[in-house]
Amino acid sequence: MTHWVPELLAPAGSLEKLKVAVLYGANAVYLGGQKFGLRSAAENFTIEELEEGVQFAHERNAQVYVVLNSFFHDKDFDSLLEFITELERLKVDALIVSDPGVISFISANSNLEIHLSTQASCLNVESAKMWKKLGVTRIVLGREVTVKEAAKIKKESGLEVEMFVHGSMCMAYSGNCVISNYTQGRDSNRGGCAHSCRFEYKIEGINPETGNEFSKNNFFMSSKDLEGIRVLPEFIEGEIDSLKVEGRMKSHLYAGTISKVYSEALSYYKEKGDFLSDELKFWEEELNKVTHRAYTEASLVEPAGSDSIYGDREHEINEYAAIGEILEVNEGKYLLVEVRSAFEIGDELEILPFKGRAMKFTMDFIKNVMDEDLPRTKPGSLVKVPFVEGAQKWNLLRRRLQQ
Amino acid sequence: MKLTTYLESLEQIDLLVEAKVDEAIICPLTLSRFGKVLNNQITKMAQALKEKGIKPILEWDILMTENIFSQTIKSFEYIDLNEFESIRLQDPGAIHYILENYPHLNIQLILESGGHHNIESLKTWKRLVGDRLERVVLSLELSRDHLANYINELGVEVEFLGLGRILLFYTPRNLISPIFGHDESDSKVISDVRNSEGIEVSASSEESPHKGFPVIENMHGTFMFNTKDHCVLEYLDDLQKIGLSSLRIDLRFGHDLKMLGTIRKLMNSFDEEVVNRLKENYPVTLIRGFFHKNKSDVLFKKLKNYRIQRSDDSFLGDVIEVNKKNHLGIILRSRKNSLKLGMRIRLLTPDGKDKELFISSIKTSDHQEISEATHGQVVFVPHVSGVSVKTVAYLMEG
Repeated sequence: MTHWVPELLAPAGSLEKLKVAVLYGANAVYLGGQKFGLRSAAENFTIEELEEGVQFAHERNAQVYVVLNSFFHDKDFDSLLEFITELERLKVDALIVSDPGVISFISANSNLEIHLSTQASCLNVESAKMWKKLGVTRIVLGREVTVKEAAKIKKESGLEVEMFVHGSMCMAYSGNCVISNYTQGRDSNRGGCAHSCRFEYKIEGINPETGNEFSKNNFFMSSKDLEGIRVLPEFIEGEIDSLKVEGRMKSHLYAGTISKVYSEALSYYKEKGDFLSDELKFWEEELNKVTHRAYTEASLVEPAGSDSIYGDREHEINEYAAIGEILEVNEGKYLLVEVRSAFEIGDELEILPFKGRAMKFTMDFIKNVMDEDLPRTKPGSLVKVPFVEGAQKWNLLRRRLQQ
Repeated sequence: MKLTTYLESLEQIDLLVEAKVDEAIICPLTLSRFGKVLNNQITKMAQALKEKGIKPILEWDILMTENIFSQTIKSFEYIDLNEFESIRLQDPGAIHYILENYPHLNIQLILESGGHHNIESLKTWKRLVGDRLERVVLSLELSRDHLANYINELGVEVEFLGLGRILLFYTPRNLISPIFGHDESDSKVISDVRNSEGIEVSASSEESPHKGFPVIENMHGTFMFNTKDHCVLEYLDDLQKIGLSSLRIDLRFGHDLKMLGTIRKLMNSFDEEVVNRLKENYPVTLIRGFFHKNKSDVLFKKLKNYRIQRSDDSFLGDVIEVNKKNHLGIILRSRKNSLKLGMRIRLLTPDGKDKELFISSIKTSDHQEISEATHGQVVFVPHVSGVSVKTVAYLMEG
């Protein structure tokens, strides 16, 4: 007997990251095309890449959702029909949209399924009912909603619900921040967010308790990162349809690790029907191995309190470095590695397999492709390192940093 | 054009009457982001306004998670909604709730934030709300020309902010009280903040040239405003001409309500000198925002290198290693095209160089010479100077 678990929806900032996320266990990925998304600086997908990505995902029973979640201005509609016609031809599984005008346009011009983006900040049952009238089939709820509230919204609206389970978080209600628009001339709701909420601010005013003048430097608008691994039982109990991981701009190692950890946790539940396992500690340790701010459960269980503010100086916790990925496995001889972060002879690296524990191995040799021995590597090169049994093409490599 | 403003206390009514204000928005503490009016005062204020010939409008503009929503609607047990003909709403949940439960109330839809910068979106809301839609309150990010177009096309009243603060950021989290060393367990300060007018501080960052953002924390969360206020009073004539139905003046947050009288006079008889004086005497710098043109997407093209994107049917793959004078490592990413001995390929570099290469040899990582490489393979071809990693390889035509 197997037990029901939610879909795991991972970010795909590029075609390579899509492959990484799917290979490491995501049931679905979301990605942006060249226009209409909120990540203007991301690589994003050309139509050709999208076609390959959809084919790759569908061959492995994974879904592909395309984000069109920017707030449109009139001129943006000029090329929308052409784009959604292409998306329909490519058989993407759904579009993630926030703008009511865009929802209406897509409904009128295609048979594509529409998910309401978190940018629309849908937070309650009545709101979900309103959006249902527009024809959306799934709501990506605002990050302020608890899992219990989400379960109620699902039950009473009859819509699928999706919630964020992991990643960076906006401090503002999504779609309700225009700091970049006015301070940088970049529309944050059309992909130009300058992350002003991560800045340090000098706060000045009158202390309400003492009546004295007050001045203090603080990162008061910066949120800790979301980590929902311990909330998985609540997600399952609430029958939340999809668990979303934030991070289209993040690294391959992030996409792989988060997909792997959450998919393994969900697989464990699927088989056993509980999370009563020492694995939970292991999964948490693994989540700590990707670059992140301090973690919080934010509002998943109860509304986020002051402990959800990332009040320290802005830096990210970085225990492991993303070393690169395996491009070729030459049986018994070597692994061909694309290097993203330098390492040297004698270093201990870890291979992150698609399933199971990381495999450690030591750099007994490093050669370039002309078989010349190298004392160390440099990023942007291809090198041969010792063969490891069980290593597979596209496996990611990482290295523990000296603390 | 109607003159619309806020009424925060009964004592302010005379000033509104003097300025011949047409409509006054009443903001209940429990329903409105910056509301101060207690539920037991609302009926009195609405009646007093009506006696003076001013239309009262109730504002319910907070965003609500499900639990907050359930608590919030209890307010309607204490507010006599029969005193109102119209209510201002933003949360789609509030809109749905009022549509379903209070059929006598007309809806003034606040579309100042969110995806409401296109006519399709506005028409969608008009269709959803139906004949109960009395007015749309449009975004400050719209230019004058868009405003004129929407007024012309929509066929409902349109309201625009004439003068007032620009809200930049809204979160339900309490972000200021923790700075004073108080968390949720420290109930006194938190409850003071939540139950009163809240606290206001000023925030400045070294990383931004703008100093002194007003920030308010109250029972509904934390709000940051722009350092400069919004003002389009110098375009009053034009706004009347394009058919704007309502000009909203927001003098909450400590401004002098006597300005309302001056603005009313300007609406009757425009005088640039008076506008300039009013602006000079206003305590905060004023901007017209995006009223002339919204160019907040022009920088996007600079955020990304479009040269490294695959773009057509002749795409082959990417250069992933450059070993000077020896080889280029290419990963074949195309499923359609293969790399063959004797062909010519085009290499487009990230810095804009356009190079050609005759494929005289193709080698694998274990030095085997091959005649063709296909999707997913990593191969090595002769080096070309000036080519770097992330260069994109294409088949040459012909």
